[in-house]
Amino acid sequence: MSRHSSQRAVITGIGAITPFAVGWPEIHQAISGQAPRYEAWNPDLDPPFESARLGLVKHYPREKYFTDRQLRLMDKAMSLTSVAAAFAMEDAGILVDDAVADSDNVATLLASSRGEAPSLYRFGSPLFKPGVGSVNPAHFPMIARNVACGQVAIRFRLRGWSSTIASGDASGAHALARAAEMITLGRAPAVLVGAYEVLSQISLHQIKARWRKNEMADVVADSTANDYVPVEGACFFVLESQERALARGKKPYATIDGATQGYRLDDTADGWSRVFERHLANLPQGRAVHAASRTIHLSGAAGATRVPTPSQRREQALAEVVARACEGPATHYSRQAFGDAGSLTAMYGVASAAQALSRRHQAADGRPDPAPERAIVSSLTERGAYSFLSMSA
Amino acid sequence: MAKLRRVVCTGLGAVSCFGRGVETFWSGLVAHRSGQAEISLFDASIYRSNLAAEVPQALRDARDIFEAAGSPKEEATLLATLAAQEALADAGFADTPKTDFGCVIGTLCSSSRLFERYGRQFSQASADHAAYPDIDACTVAYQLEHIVGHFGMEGPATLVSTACSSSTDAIGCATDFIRGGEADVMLAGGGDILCEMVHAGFNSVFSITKDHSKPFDAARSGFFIGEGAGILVLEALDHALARGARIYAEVLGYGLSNTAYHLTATSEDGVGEALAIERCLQDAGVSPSDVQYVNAHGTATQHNDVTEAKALRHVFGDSLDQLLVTSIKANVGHCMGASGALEAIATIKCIAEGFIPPTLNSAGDLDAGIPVLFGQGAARETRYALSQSFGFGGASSAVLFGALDRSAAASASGAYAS
Repeated sequence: MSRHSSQRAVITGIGAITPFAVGWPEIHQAISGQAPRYEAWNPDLDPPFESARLGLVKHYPREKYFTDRQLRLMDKAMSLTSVAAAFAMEDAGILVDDAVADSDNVATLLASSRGEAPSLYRFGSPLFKPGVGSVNPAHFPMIARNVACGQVAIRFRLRGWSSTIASGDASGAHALARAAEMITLGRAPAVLVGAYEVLSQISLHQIKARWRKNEMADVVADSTANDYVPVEGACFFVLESQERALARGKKPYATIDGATQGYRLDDTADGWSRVFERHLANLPQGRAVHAASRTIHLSGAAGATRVPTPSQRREQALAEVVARACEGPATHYSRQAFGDAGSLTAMYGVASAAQALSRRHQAADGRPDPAPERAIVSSLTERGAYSFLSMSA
Repeated sequence: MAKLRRVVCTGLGAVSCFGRGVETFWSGLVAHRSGQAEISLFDASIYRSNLAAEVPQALRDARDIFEAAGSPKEEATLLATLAAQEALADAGFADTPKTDFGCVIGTLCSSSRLFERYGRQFSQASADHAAYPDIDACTVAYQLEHIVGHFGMEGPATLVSTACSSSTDAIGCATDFIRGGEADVMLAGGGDILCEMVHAGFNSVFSITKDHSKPFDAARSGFFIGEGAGILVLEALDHALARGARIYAEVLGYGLSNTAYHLTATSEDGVGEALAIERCLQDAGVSPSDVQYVNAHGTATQHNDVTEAKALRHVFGDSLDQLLVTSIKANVGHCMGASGALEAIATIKCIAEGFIPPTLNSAGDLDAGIPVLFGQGAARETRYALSQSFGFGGASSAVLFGALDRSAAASASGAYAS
């Protein structure tokens, strides 16, 4: 995100769908009250560990935005993203009477880590099983990761800058950083930016195989922890310039001040200290985290294993660095609240931070945080990608 | 608006159906070659068309090349890594520590052949995890992860996947990282491969030609899928000047749009696609009348070429006559997400060489009123050249390159007003 920013990017709308609640206020309330209950692991697949669970989205108001015929031509990725996007735009007040003002210039950005696997497998299945038949051309477009973004654009007639990010679990953070930059560079009056994940048998099998290989999740210590519960969902934000939001009388949730991203496999505090200092140095003047500010840290870290995994060690080193730089911020762990949400983990972290910074509610896990002024949302992946987003009230 | 840094291209790398290397790729275009052939990678005889442009088998089989690329677990990543090796060496960075470099990859089909193999095993109820040693490479992000790991890059890194528009978008995204001061040097581009799923899909919607690809020709009948990779080394102008780098061209601007029209079809009026081109020219601060060459998406499908012509007429209007428009897809095939990067390299070579190769197999007689260069190539000094890509999901992207204005470079200290 450019250090030469002249406009401030603010969040004016949040829309989300999770397995346990639909709509951001409802999700926030559900998380604040008690830990979400997930369902048992798919019985058709061997569970990766004894207490394995998963989170599927079953009910969300698709019919409010699409006809039955339209829904028959969509996959779950397309309908989930479109509904969550609509929620965000309604929350921001930019979707009125099914129309978006200046829609030719409203940008769309989408992210997903593993979301295309179900439709990829469905389309390819006739080729995978000899003698089954030929592929279905109606399913072909859905193998492209950006088609869900295209569906959002079509549904709401949005023709602004548009892109889809697929850089693994860091995708959500990457999309948010790019969206904020589009605002600061004046490329769009508003950006609709979001992420989605959907699950199917093959994606669960992939997740299980990857855990077995990389993270040793089969030795999960706490059977009640949500860190290793694969979940479906979608989460969207509306970003605007602060000037535009204020001009139309909309109180923003929070400002996105800056972002830093890269790759790093190091798990030493010294190494992460240099990276984090670079992030702080790159923030536009006057927007840096400083010792006097009350800061919260939203981490995408997973815990709950008996032996720390490499990514947990990196997260731990980073948390120590952030704690030193910000004089002991309260750290919230998004995965404990929202499950293993892939690209959505960072999105939920930003939504929780935005909620806390707007002082409308406490942060997602309900811990008391008197009037935070700054937030750091960190996202580290098992393959070494990292991202920090700095936000302020 | 604050000053943003200027961005230039200082290194190029390519792998195509003609083989390895930018010169091999460029000389194939100049010599009017086509890599179109019958598919050897899988049994394509069951499909309406069995044509594609595969990379040479010798390249796939070369153990030393594979190991020098870090033994990637899937082939699109191998192609992209080879292109990155060439681009970095071309820019003079072969032996330079690359810790601060960043990378933006654009791809559609990376890992898809691995996914097919995985899907076959899964569908045949093989539940043994040991059967999937390459599980980490089964997602598209692997291409990015391998490249940054292989070259030891720790700078900004991401992957965009906007179907056939992916790597043009990637070039723009990487440009933004340099403009914003987050990196001095970025790799941008991507690699893609032929896989049966995608070939079957485009066959099912009648997009694959059964004879020859003829972009912008009245008798056009579609494309054939190509394999390949293109990587550009993008660098801050001040950084490139300070180290005395050879500069191929300047990245002047880019633009994106969504047509918001249809999930697979291009728009009827070309306006949604034109928005990406207009935004690109606006980002660059260049007037349509100053552009001399357009490397078109030019898939040779019935719909794309008509829509693309309408988009060009919409943007360029009366100045259309001074343009030359070509497509290289009849030469190297439609390389899916990687096509934008290869076409960007062709565009930059046109600027650097002062020569524009023609559109192969085309009589340029599409009744759309755009000046398609066909038959023979044209010697032409080109100051501003556009490369554009469109894809499923309404994705549209365009990037404008320009010959470096050295007088401006000397006085501007690598910054300009945006």
